[in-house]
Amino acid sequence: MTRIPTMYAHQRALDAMAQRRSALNGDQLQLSTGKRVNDPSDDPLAAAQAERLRSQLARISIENRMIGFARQMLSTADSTLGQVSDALQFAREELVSAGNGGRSSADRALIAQQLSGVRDQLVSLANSRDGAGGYVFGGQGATTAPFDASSGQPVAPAPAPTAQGSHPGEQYTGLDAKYTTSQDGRAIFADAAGNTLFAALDTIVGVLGDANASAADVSAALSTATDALDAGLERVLMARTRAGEQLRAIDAHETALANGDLDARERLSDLVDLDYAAAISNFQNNRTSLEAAMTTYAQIARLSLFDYL
Amino acid sequence: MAGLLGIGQSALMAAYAQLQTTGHNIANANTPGYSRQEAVFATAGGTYTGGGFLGMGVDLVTVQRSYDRFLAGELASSTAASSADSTRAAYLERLQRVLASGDDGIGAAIDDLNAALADVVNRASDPTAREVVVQRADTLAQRIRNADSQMAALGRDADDQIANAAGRVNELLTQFAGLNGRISAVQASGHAPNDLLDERDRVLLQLNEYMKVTALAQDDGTVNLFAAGGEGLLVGTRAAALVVGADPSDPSKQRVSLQNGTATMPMSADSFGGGSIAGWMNFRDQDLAQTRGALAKLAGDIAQTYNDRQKLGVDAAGAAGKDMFAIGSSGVDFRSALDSGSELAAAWPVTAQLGAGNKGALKISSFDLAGATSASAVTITFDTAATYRIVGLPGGTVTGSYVSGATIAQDGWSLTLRGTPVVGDEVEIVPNASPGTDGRNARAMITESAPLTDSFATMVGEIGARTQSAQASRTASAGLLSNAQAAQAEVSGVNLDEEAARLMQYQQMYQAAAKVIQAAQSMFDSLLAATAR
Repeated sequence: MTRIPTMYAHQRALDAMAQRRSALNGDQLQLSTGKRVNDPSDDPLAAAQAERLRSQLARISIENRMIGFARQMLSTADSTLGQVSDALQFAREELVSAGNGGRSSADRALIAQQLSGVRDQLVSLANSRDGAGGYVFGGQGATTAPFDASSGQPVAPAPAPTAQGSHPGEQYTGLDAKYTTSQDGRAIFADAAGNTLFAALDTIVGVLGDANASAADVSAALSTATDALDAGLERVLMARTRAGEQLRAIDAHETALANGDLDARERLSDLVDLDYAAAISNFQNNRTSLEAAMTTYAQIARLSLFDYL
Repeated sequence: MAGLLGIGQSALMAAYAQLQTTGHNIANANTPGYSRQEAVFATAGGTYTGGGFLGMGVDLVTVQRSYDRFLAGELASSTAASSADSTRAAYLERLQRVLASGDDGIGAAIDDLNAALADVVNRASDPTAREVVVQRADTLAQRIRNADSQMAALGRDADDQIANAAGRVNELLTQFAGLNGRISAVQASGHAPNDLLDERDRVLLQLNEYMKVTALAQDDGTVNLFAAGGEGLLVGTRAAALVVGADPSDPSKQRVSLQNGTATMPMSADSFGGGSIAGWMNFRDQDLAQTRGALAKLAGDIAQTYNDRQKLGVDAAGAAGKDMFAIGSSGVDFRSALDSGSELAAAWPVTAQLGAGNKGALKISSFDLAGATSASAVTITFDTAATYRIVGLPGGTVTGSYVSGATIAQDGWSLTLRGTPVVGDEVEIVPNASPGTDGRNARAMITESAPLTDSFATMVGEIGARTQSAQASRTASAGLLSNAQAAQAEVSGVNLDEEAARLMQYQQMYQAAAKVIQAAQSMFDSLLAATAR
């Protein structure tokens, strides 16, 4: 038969209760933080994995920030190019109307005036700001407007070309994939030989405004200008297509990132977040045990042979 | 009648002695280290008469304590083991909190720095974005410094504790030596000085809380003490002492040595074998040293990753990038070296472009800077559609055959071209004309720093696993200690119910013995009355 020494019996009962209480404290900490893993030692594997997932989420947010910026830039470029395209269409219609045989020199002067307005509008569109301190068509390194407002010539020194691709003057962002954040205005508003649309308009405005110009001169100038505008429209369309393609790619990329984000969050939650049902059940178990230990201890401790002597 | 009186008296004395012992047990029921005592009786023998041997009563042989040498030894060694394990686990729990994970951690600081770099990639000309990078680099450096200085503080704390414990061990050894002397002095009486022995065992148990001590009993009643490594701690009444001083091989650390007379020998965690001193030493020399080493390595990797990229790039003014982080000579004196945002080498010194007069469908697929470049202006000219010639390289002209999609790597940069060139087409590598607006190198910093957060996560996992295993050891050795305590208490502990029963039992014996004396007296009275004439 085992002898149970009195002091030891008390000590052991107290130790057992202290253990239960510490378990209850642990449950309470989990319930109050909502986390299963509060210290790395609670589950080292999960803690390391959670840290990796946190970093992965941070990277996804960096990527999102980058492509968000690209989207903003590309949308601005797209809508500006839309306006450029409208202006060029309008100018082209004016040119057709100027070529009408019945036009008097006064009529042509009026058209010249309108074309001159289109030319100013195009220069201001080409020099659009991107809302982030730069220029939509500035290309890389642009801190000043890409075109001179009065002459319509590219501002010297020409923006330096960057890496990537065949379109010098473009800037890129993104980690997994790269997106353009700037368009090179020279590739849109000027042809390969460097003749700008503004110059073409200036020329035709000059000819149409000249009351002494011969019909043949006018006709030849109109034809040259129409060709220039058509080529310009084509370049604008190309640029818009490129921007649109990239915007579509960004949409797909964003969806993928959102999925990755959701996935990482779910895994993170599985790793460190608390299963409340299990935690509450644990808490109840430990509480019942502590109560039982207290009740029985109080009853047993009260028993003593001395009471009967 | 004298015999009966004597027997009654011996029984009375015996019952009284046992009652005294029971009283002593009850009085010390809650004294730590007390061993239950009991009076040992034997018959006083008999005297021969013609009718046989007549008993002479009872003798008190001695008072002995309920004590098991082996159980006491087991209790001592499990105390040492449990004390070492719980000390180490408690300090590891503090250490793992120094390496906070989550948003306050070093990993998050790296990610924050990268987020700021991403803004520079988006708009390299924005001075605010560059300034944020400087701030974030500073925050990262600060977090690493904080973690390291907190670890250093934990090490100093452990050193202080070791020094205190060594002082306490010396006091206990002196006490033990004193008790040895007192015990051997009374040993000659032939009876065990139970309470002194308990006291000495209690001191031995306290010693084991600090270090593992092996006891070897001698014939003269003294006990000699040895450390786990066999070093003699105490012989008879002569005690050695622990001395704490700076470690000659590493003055930043404290070393404990054992001084025995004029001989001094250094003590390792192994020679302590257990106890809290071994726990602190193992924590300091293993866990803390390795974790600090891992942090220093991570800091070195961080510095190298960003500094290497800085060196490849050029800053906003076009000057070669300086280091982003500096590591001091002592430990992890990790500092941010960027003074202003314009010093961030976000740009590459060179860039690639197609020749202005190209006729073919040649396109630049990608351009990358992987190593140091001389930033020389270079022209790649296609002499045929399948061969090219690179002019302007520091090493002279290079020729190669062209395959669409293959990479041309020279002078630190690598270039991938696609499409078919026409003879005379050119690709130019030119110095970057506007480094203040280029964020390509910043982007490379972000992509190349990915392994850093991963190593931090590994560190968190490692310290977690270390702590978890220390906690498991603590639980296991605490269980063993509890078992040893239970086994010893079962033998030596006082049960008050038992003592209550003894009290009754020997009270009755006392009363009976008194009756024997009363009977002897009344017999004597009867005899007197019968003979009184």
